[in-house]
Amino acid sequence: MNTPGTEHPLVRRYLAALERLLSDFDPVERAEITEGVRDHLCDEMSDGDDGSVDAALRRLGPVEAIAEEAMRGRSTTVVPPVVRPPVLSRPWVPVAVVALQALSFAIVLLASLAAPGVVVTESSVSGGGTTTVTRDVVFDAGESVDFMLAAVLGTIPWWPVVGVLVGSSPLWTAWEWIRIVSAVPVVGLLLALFPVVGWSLGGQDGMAVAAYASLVVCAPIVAHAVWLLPRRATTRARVLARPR
Amino acid sequence: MVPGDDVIMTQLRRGALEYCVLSLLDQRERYGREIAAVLGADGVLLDGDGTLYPLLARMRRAGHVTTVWRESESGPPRRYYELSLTGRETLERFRIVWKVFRDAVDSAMDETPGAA
Repeated sequence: MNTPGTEHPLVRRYLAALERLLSDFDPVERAEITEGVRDHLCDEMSDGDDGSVDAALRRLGPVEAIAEEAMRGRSTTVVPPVVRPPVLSRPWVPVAVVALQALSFAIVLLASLAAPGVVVTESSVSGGGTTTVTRDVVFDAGESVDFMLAAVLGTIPWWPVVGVLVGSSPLWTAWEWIRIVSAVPVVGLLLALFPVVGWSLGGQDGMAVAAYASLVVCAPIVAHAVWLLPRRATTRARVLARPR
Repeated sequence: MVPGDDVIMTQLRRGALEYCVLSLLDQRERYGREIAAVLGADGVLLDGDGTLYPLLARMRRAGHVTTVWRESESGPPRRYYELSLTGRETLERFRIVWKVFRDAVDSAMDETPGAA
């Protein structure tokens, strides 16, 4: 609201200086402050003559003081520069680790399903009017373990890449690195050894039970490696990605 | 370095001025120059009238006060500030806390050697 008083050169200079000091403020906030000061001066000017202009401006105080008060709790359209975190601290890293780990686990799991298991051979011998059927159930533990070992080696190159990514990234601790890197070989070993133990304890039935048990034991290890630890890393990556 | 009176006064003002404004508005709605006249009367709470306006803008954004334009008998329309419900609750809370704070500071001052 402009009145003849606010057109006074001293007043215009005062308000212009205030606008300049608040130039990087949110436009709405800047307008509210300057309008308040202008209206205050309008009110003062509606009383008096030119001599009151100096007194009114003195009572308002220096524009620097008003701007300083406005700085406290300011809102501004100036956006702080976004500092991007280092490459290995970004959210894509845990996603890549999950994908590679999942691929490795899939290879190991498929191998365990395809591993040489029980071989049943039947032979029959006839004689004297009777037929004798001999059934041999054979399980080659060594061959089974070798197969699983080959499966774990088959996860190369994904698994070493996981090791390098996780080891180079600040998103995981050293202990978490150990847990992630060891997950695939540990799961492969368990899937290989459980059936062997089951066979030695309970034959074919024992091996079947042990095979299912191995899946139950391996499930939390897999969940840890492809969900829990990467999720922690994703949270850390998001924190690092926040503007400072 | 020993801070000057104005530095200490500025620091103290920053903590209390908003609540003094709320207390004035608790009585009735007021316009900016009127608030400045009351608070600045003794030069303690308000150093320059102009510093009131960024504070009022902040209080309005925080929802402690609302504003309304009213015609004035002499001069242009005036923007009146009135206490919101949030502002009233804030003021009530401040009154309780202020008493505790004031008594604690007074007590600490009394226990300090050399205090008057």
